[in-house]
Amino acid sequence: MDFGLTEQQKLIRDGARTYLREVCPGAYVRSMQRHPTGCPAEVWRKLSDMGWTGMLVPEDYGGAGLGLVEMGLVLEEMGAVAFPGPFFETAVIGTSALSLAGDERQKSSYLRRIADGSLTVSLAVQERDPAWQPSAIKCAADRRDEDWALSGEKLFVGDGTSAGLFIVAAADRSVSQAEAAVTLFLVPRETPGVRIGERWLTVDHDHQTGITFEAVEVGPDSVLGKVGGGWPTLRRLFLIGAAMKAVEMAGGARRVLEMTAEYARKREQFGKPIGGFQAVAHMVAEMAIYVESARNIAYQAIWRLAQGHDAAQEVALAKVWANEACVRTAELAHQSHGAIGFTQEHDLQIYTRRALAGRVTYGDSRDHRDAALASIHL
Amino acid sequence: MRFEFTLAEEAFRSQLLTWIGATLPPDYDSAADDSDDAQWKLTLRLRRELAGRGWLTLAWPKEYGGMGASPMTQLIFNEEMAFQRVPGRDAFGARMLAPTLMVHGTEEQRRRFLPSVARGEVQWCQGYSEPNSGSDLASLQTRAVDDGAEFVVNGTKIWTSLAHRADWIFLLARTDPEASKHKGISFLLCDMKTPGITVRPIINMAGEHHFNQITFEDVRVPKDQLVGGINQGWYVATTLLDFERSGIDYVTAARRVIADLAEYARSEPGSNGQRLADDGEFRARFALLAAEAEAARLLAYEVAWLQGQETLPTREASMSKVMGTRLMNKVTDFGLELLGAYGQLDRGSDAAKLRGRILRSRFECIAWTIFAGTNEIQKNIIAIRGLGLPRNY
Ligand SMILES: Cc1cc2nc3c(=O)[nH]c(=O)nc-3n(C[C@H](O)[C@H](O)[C@H](O)COP(=O)(O)OP(=O)(O)OC[C@H]3O[C@@H](n4cnc5c(N)ncnc54)[C@H](O)[C@@H]3O)c2cc1C
Repeated sequence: MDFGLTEQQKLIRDGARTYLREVCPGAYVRSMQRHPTGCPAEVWRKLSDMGWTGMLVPEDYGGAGLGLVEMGLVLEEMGAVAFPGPFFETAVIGTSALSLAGDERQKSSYLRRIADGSLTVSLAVQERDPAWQPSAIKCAADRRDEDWALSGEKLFVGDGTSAGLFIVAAADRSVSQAEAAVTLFLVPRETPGVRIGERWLTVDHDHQTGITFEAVEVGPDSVLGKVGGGWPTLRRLFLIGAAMKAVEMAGGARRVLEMTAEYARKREQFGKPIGGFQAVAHMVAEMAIYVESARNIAYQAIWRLAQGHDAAQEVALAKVWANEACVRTAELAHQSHGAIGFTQEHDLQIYTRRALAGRVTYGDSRDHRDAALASIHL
Repeated sequence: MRFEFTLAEEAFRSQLLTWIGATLPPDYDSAADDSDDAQWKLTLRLRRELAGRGWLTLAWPKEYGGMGASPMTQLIFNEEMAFQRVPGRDAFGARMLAPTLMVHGTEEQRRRFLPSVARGEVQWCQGYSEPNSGSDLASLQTRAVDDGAEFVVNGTKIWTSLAHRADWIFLLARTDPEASKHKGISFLLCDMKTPGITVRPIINMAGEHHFNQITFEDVRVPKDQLVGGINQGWYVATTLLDFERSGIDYVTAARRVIADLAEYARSEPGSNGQRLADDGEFRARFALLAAEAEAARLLAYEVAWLQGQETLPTREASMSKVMGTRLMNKVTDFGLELLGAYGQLDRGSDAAKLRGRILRSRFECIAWTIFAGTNEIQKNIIAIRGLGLPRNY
């Protein structure tokens, strides 16, 4: 067991912390809520220049070739400042999808562009039944000779309003077995028949939307991975997404703890700091337990994935616990802040909204239940 | 970062498991506890065996005859012993007193007291708490008066675990009533057969005789049984509290209960043809408990890792204690609900499920959030020492 970081990892974490604190105060998060992509071009360029968008991209394709643990350190810091924008979907999910399943041509064109900051990617999987199950994928992929026609609807598409490339999960209606029917397609935004909906009003003011596909014609070169082989890739992306979301959430909770401890030291009532009232001190202590435990369990999942293990159980346990711990942390923080934390002006609500969104992103606790239970043979 | 034990650590774990498999009697009733005489005999027998293998003193430095094992190896030992519910470990002597003597004892005290602990031959007990001094331990009133070659001790200790089985006691007594409360305390070692000591049983809510009240009436303690100097007892006492406190025992006990309950839910027929394992409500609760248990386990691992880095993980140890003890209360309580009407049947009832162990454990862990520093005291430590909140209470 080793809970420590290597020198390189410490540099990555410290660099991320310094840069993100500077670029992303609460005012920035608020202004990005109105921004069309959630990340201005100059910031995105900087993320690319620092090697973050290409962090998981192999060196052969212009990336840094680092692993999930290093990416986790960056995401933890992003969570700590509630950094908005398409980074997660592009640099974590898009990159992983292409690395896992892409052919040489797809990798060299798309991964390079992710690394150099000229492409953002979004995963379009969930539909009306948002469960992460093959049977919930109803969007149809019909063969037209060599080509395919996609028709149907995708919901909860993260950064759907701005992504340049969609990874779309669709089911071949001629295949009866749900899992074997799923194929992934790479669909550029401007492809005819792709109708991108209005930006949704969401708890986190993020950039989700719904997309409809009206007989969208795509060629065989847009198939990502094998025909009928989409589900195993999606499952892996689901695990990576959940583990990485868990560490991002833990980062947010850590910041909420820091804010609350600071406030409890400063805010006075009855002539003394409220942190001197044990009722408040104990809420803060509870938060510390949630934060530390959520962080550890997230890194365990990430480390197992990085080692190449299946890690489904560890990931499920991590996401289930992050979902619980981070939302409980938010509640305790609100109680400790009193009315000020209930205002729009205060940053606390930004984190609370994020925690509520994170809880249902890359699997809510129900989606992860069976895998979590497998760890105790249930 | 590495979330895996080393090969050497895994080898140690399997060696230990092999020994446990070969040693634990097949009819061993793990719902029993040390208040049961047959169980106590087994405890003593296994303790000698552990001593023979050097495992009783695994973490002691080699110069004192220990194996110099790392905190992580010690954690593995505790984790497996707790998960398999093997009796025989010696908290008071081997884990608490001995390391304290290594730091604060004289050479002569070490030579006199360590070997018998290492051989598993002497039972120690801990005389800290008093009727009026629990969490506020430093307010203790038991007096030790200097009388030349000896101290004369008068007072009452309470909640003293295993005092009725103990050969010796280490206790805190006030030697300077004028000094501020932390500065007038001394740490003494005393033979339980010394005249003037009376041990009265206190029966706990589970019906077991585990702890006691002890009165000291003019008990004479030779001065060479003072540890760490006169009025230095508070420092000696707190050293002792810091030794191996990863909290792994608490979370491991909880994990074992979860495992037992899961097996029960799988194997029982349930009602209306639905197994408990397929009941949606129970599955949701099981999943959250499993996640919490995994998180608590890693917190305990983190404490042991920090100890191995030569740091004193005060904040993390407190977090681990709170999380593990609370978890045990949650899982045993969940267990009683899972068992339904069977949950009320105690050990010894023919119809009891899981030998009535869940009910026993449900009672037992009520004490866990209280002893070794109540969970409120732990949260004070987290808030004040860990997060820099003001100390107003
Ligand atoms: C099974 C068992 C075995 C034990 N074995 C031993 C033993 O072998 N040797 C020994 O010396 N002692 C032993 N103890 C005693 C144990 O150490 C004490 O029970 C413990 O220190 C708490 O003291 P108390 O019971 O007097 O409770 P109190 O200190 O009176 O506490 C009562 C309540 O008040 C709260 N409280 C007290 N002070 C504060 C504060 N500052 N801030 C917030 N809340 C506070 C507590 O958290 C608790 O909820 C044992 C106890 C149990 C239950």
